[in-house]
Amino acid sequence: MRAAFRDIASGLFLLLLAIVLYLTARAIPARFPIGVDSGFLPEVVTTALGGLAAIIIYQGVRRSGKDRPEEDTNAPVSSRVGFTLALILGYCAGLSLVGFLPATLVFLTLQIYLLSPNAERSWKMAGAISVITTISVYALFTFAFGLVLPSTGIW
Amino acid sequence: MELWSLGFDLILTPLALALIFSGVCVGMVFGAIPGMSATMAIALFLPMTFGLDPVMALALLVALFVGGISGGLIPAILINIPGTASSIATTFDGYPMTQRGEAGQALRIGVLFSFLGAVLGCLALFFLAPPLADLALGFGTFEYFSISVFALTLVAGLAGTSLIKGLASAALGLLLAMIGIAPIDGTKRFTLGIPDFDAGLALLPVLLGLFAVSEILKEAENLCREKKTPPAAFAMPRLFAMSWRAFTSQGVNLIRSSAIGIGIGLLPGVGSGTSNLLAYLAAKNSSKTPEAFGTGIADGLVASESSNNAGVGAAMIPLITLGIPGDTVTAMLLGGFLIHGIQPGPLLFQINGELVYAIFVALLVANVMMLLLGYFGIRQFVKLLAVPRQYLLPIVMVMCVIGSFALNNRMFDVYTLIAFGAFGYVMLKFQYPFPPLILGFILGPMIEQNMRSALMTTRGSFLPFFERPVSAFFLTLAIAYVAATLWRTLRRS
Repeated sequence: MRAAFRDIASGLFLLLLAIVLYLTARAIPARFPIGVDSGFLPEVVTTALGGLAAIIIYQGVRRSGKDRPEEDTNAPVSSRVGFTLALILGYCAGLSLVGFLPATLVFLTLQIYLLSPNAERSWKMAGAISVITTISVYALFTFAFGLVLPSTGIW
Repeated sequence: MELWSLGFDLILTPLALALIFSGVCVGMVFGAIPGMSATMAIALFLPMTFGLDPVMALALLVALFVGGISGGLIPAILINIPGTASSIATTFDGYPMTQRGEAGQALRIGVLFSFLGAVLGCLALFFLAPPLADLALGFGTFEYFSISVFALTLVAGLAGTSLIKGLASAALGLLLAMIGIAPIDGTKRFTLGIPDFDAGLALLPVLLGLFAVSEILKEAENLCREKKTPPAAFAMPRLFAMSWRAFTSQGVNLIRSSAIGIGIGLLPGVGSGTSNLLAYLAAKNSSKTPEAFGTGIADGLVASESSNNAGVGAAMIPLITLGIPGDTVTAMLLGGFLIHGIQPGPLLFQINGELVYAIFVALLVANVMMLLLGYFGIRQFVKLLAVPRQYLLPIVMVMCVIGSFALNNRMFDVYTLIAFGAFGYVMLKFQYPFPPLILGFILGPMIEQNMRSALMTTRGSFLPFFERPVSAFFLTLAIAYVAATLWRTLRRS
């Protein structure tokens, strides 16, 4: 990713966010007669954010054409991050659907397998670590610390 | 003295000592594995502290902090990769010593001077924190507002490479803190009509998401790229790695480097990642043989390791006396305080004095344990460099989920964790620093509450902020700092 693109894209996002939040802040009803009301600080901060976003965009525009492309992130890397994020989201959904024990067991197995270098990937190893970890963590938090873990009534 | 005695009574129990021992061990392991950090170690253990008494919980977290900072020297010396940013300068002379076959000696020198630097940092904490807390008791809304604004601008400027991005990150943190019910008049803001947002976002999932989950995503990227570096083999040296004469000749270096570490540790946002480099440069510049630096001499090791460990005690000073965390690790520690219902600040000394002194004692004990573990268990820690991160990171993720859920027993906090993990990863990619966002999020309510309370007494006039000396001093510093940095940035571009 080029530094200029990074600055322009993030600056535009922040500018848009600042405008939306500023308009929302302006709509906050004034309830307090003395000093400043609840909309004052949000308005100040969103205005500042908008100004900063404009400077970031300006810096990006000035830099564009001058900077060289940085090290390209290849597809396997992006997909690994994407899979990891998808697994984490799936894990959260799993916690609500099937409870802590099965969701954690599946998540750990898949995540360990996914993060392992290709030459070291082993379902057996990932599974063994997952079973031991899940049961240990469950026992520790439930029986030793008395914490409530996500459950569905079954697990 | 009575509070010291109470502090010793609370910490010198089998459970507390066992927790501190475990904390230092785990912290050193996390510090020793490149890519893992003290922040992650604390993230991992925060959920475990829910079931503990606050004193025990904080003793454990402080021990993790000490271990996490100290462990970074192991890979820095053995494989030329600093385990944490606080050990970057350790590689300069540590690794050349390893290449000469003196790895064991380098490790023992590093551990010894880490301990000595940490003791000096603890002394700063013991002697500076109580009078600072007394001073802070006289502060009102004007002063708290100005100090918070000063801390935020300093962190914004120093945490990353760009002040503008740092300030934008701080502004985002302030806006995130505004979600929910406003102070003073209870108006709902930015809740999108979702009831879960009414109470605002909880600190812990935001912290864990930004620092732990985003790190896991980053590591998912790095794990498939990196090549393994086998740890260097080394022979254990004699018990004292240097002669008495060589030891005493490091006295000035130790004191100067520790003073740098303490000074940097006191400032919000700078952290030990900078202090070790500054101390190394200071040692090199004041040396009669600067050309020897980088070739594997003890002076470089002493400078780096004593400064980074001295910063641990110093970083606790603003946290305990003002409730303002200076860096990511102390922000995590603040999370530890808050989940046990303890609000750090000047009143902590009066309301919960025994807890403060228990933390002091825990810090001291943790450093002694770090010395013993580092001195006698170094061979075992070296083996830990081979522990695959692909096994550790998913476990850290599970612990983060448990910690977030256990906070209020609701899945909303888990979703917050994931959202901030993804957001943190995007911030990393676009090179926006986290610490200003976190500090903005933590200080946002403090800034708004104090500003609005102050403006109620002045009937909307901002002038009194510049009429009270402490408030005027910090606000002027903040404005001058931002103006000077902006001027430099504009001139450069």
